[in-house]
Amino acid sequence: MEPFVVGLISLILIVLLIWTGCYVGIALSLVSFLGVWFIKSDPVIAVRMMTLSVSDTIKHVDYASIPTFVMMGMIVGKSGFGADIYQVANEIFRRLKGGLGVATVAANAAFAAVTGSSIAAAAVFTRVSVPEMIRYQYTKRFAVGVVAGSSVLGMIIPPSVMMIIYAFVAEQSVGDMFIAGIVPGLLLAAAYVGAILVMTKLTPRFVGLGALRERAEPAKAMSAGEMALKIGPIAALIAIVLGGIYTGFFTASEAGATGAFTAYLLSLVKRKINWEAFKEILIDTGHITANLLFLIIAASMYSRMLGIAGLPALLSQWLDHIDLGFAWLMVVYVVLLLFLGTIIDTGSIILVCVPLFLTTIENMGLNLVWFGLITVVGAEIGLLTPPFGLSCFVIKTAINRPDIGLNDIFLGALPFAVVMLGVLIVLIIFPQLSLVLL
Amino acid sequence: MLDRSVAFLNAVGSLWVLLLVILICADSFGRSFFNRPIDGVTELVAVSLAVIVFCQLPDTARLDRLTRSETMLLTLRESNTLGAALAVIGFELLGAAVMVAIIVGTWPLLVEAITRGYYIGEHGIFTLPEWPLKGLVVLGSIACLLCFLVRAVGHWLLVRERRR
Repeated sequence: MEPFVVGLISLILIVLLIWTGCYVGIALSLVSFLGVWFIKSDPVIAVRMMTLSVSDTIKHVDYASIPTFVMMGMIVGKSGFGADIYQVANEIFRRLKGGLGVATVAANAAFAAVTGSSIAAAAVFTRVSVPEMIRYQYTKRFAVGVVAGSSVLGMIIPPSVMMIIYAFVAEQSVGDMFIAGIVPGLLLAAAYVGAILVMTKLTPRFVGLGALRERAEPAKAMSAGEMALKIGPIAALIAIVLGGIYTGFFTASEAGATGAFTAYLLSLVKRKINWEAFKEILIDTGHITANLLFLIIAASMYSRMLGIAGLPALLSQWLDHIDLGFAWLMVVYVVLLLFLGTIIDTGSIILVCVPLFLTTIENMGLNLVWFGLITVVGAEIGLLTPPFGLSCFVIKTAINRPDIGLNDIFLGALPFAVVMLGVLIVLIIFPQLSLVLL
Repeated sequence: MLDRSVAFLNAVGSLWVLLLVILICADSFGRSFFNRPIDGVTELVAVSLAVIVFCQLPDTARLDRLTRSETMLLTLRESNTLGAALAVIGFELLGAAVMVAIIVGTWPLLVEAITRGYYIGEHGIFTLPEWPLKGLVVLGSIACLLCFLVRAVGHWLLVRERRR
């Protein structure tokens, strides 16, 4: 059999296995192993490739950015900083119509700048912001929709685990990816705010009548000092992590480690984390790290297999041959991301798609950091769309109310998914938005 | 017994991660403020990561925290319980197969590291024998293999129980 046929069959097999529920890392590594075995007709070479991937793929200090940023995110998530920042945002947007929705987006954007995962954001803000919105007579659908939509910011505004994964698969610098994510992340947050204001004006029934009323003044207004005290920890963390990376003072893994350490010191002041909670953070960090790093190891086997099969080069030649052009390539790629988003999770999409398209993008002379942004944003839309909208599932679990069903959450999140697609198109047309800070 | 050893291995991995975080911090402080980085931290971190993964992978597998997409399985479970259960068992066995390949591949490296006395790092500055690292990878993959098998058997017993 021709090598590229084996590669193609392997690719289809991998997507099928992941779709039917096989562990993603296992599907990637096992099929790649068998693929190499078939192409080279030699099991010894296949075993050697597997061993090499295990021992050499993550043998670099940069990969420590995964455990460090995960740990920092866990500590921040458990310290109650999310609730603090939400209170402050609430105070700031008090007079605005639809202010609670805007506050949720703003607080999420700030929270996203100190955590790398949408899951943590969805869980935290379901608890602090949904009850508040329902209390002020926003519709349940809108309340959960805002939380789902803005939780996506967690993985677009740096630090972001998905960007780390992309950086490793595409061999780009983690720091560059982070810095490139700042403007697109803020742009998405701004677009969400705009959408909420427009929806409050045009479709108040969807947002809820409470959004139109002005909220009563609290008995005691929050003083500027109190606000500063509540925002302080997050501001300090953002300054250390993003500031450190931007100025080149820290490498990505140093920024993560220092961030985790600082977050721990700050949480000690708040006295939210006792020994039990700390143990839990360590264990959870371990599980998430092992899972992610194993995925990266498996993905390296997969991209080695694709390389041996010659598939990425072939795809590039073929696309060149049919003269697809930039615009149509992007259309095809985004549709592919959206389609995969309906069947598999964000991380798997990145791991499956990027090695396949990398050669094409490189041959067309396109910027790989920009391509990473497009990939991450495109794949993240899948967090909001059924049937595999992870953010929506997390909210469903966290809220635990029978009167709010999964379909309410998906419907509520729909406008935000549409806004996200709009922002993605803008990012594709204007690459400068992603690259301006580099 | 397996559960406890796996949890222990996991705890080793967790503490190792904590140690790395502290070392990276100390290294970067030392470098920035006293112009004195700690020798060997970069090398140590680089070789540690793969080992940590295999210390923690068994526990992650045991607690069903490896990434998978469950939507199809859940749908299938409603229409065809047996089919879904068999698919789950199949996926556990695929996991076991991968672990076997990793063990087969890493075992000779472990033997070589012991018999030839390989070490990591630069002589005179920072060195570390390689065999404990390779050993932990093999140990972790064996534990992971067992976890996948135990889970497969567990699912199988559930199926049999339901059929009675």
